Amino acid sequence: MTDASVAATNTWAGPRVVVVDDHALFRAGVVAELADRVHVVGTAHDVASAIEVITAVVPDVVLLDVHLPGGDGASVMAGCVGLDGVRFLALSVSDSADDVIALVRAGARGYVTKSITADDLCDAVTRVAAGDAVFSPRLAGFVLDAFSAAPASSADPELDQLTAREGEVLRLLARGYAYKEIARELTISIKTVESHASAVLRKLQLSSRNELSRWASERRLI
Amino acid sequence: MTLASAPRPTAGTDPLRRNQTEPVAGEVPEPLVLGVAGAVAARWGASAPVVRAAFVVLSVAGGFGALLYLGLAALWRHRDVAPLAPTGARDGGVALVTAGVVWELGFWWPGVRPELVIPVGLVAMGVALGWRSGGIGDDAESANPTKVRLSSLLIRVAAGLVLCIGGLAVFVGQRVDFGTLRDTAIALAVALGGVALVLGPSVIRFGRSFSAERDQRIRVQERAAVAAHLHDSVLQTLTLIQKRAADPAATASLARHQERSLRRWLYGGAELDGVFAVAPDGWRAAAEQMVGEVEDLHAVAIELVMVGDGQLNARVTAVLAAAREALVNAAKFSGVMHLSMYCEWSHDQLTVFVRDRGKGFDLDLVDADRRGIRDSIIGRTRGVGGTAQVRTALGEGTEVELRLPVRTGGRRD
Repeated sequence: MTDASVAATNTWAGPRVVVVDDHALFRAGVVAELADRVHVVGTAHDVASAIEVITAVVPDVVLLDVHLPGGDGASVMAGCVGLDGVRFLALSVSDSADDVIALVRAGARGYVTKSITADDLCDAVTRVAAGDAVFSPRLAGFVLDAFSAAPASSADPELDQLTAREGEVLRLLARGYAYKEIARELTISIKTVESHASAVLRKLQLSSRNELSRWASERRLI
Repeated sequence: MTLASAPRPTAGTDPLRRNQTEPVAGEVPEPLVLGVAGAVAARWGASAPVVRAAFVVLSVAGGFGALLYLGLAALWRHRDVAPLAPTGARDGGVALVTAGVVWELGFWWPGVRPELVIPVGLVAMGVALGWRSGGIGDDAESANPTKVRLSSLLIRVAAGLVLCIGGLAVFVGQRVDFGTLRDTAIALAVALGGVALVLGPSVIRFGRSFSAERDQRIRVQERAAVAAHLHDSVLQTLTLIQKRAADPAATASLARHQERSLRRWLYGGAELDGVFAVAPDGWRAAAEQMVGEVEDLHAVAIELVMVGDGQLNARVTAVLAAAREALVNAAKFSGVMHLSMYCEWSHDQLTVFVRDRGKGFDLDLVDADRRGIRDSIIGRTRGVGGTAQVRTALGEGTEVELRLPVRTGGRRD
């Protein structure tokens, strides 16, 4: 981050965000951390209130807890299907692959753990608002695990396998590299890194007949 | 707090009571009458039902057993016994001693009538056998039912029944022949059937309420165990964190430590798995433990990401040790609190990356006394046939890359 962009994020209101988490203390903490860098337009504590708030304010980004009273993050996404331009970023204290993959398959644009620093969270929110995918190292590890479980042999190899480049990008993400660092490491542009990440996310969401879905069903995700 | 200290109706007040959760080899059972038989059994290492049967036989033998029983009850502070584990040999000893006493008494005392003693003895031994196998008796095997093999249980129940029927037949007919045995068996079956019809419903009702009560007790115990665990771990940590709120490094370390142990407790150590179940002796479990230790010792946060799993061996353990050295180096010298470790088992290779975004260093200028990198990381990995690479530059952070060819990755070999 250069000084100029920090100044810019401080003065600019940033993306409009709704925070959905049933833990009041945590919600308050996130709102306080984000307050001067993004525009928090609403909060919610369960599935019903989340759908209500999101429908009312139509934010750019919803920070969505994985587990909620009255359902889970995925049911919030299901309740907001008709809304254009609302993007979801999963935020979880859970490290289980099941929870995370389920939310991403339901349409979340990324996943971060609750131990994330305020800076990284703002960065992730901004990135999701711009339509990019956000991979925490852990999510990258889960995806690599899922795609490497066994060689694919189905009708749609495009969706079943990661390209070599996507694998490289994911491995660097799993090693803790930021997009900028990945771009330098692979001597490609940041935009290209972002498009690889989005492609992986799309494969994760769309592939239905591949190893991934078998992997997921074995783990009772779908 | 309140839960943890809630009184549990088990140990503490009465040392004679059995603690349901601990299958102790030799225990003083619940008293049936005055607890003398149980105490004798515990002291001599016999089964309580066998000793009770012996007392019954001796009582029939002219009342000697009853006198003995009352005498022992009056004399013996049976609560002080140190129990022995019951064995079949000692049970046999009790039976022999009883038979000997009866035999001896028979010479001295006209009150010992064989036509009474023999059937009662047979029935009593049959009942004792049945108790031992049915789990009613308080011997070691009923405390640990998985040890009782089905075949031996059936044999013992059958033997017990034969003894009972034989005893009754002797009592009824005084002469054992096949007809008497058959008639007695039929009479016994009819009588048992009648009793079952009369008492069955209330027995079933009693059994249900008993099991409901037991379920309730188990729930209460589980709750108490959870409360005790939370009290010992989480509440203590929270108290410590409040006390040391002024020391952010210490509180962060406490919180990390607690989080890890709570997760391990909640998910049984399998919470970080991806496709592969975490083998307790596998790479994932070992790496997780190692990373936890480094986090605790050096007050850093390590983002650990793992793909695949494999089994430990001497070479793999050497790589793990090298990775640990890399993490410790980063924790000490990088100047940052956040480190990353990524490891991947592919089909033929284990790869480990340890990375920090700290100040980095010039590899060529590393002092000769900083032997950690040269010996503990590079030398150790090369020594087991792997490769190690350190990439760093001043201000650029450091990344250590370890690679080890493995024959089979991803599954256990």
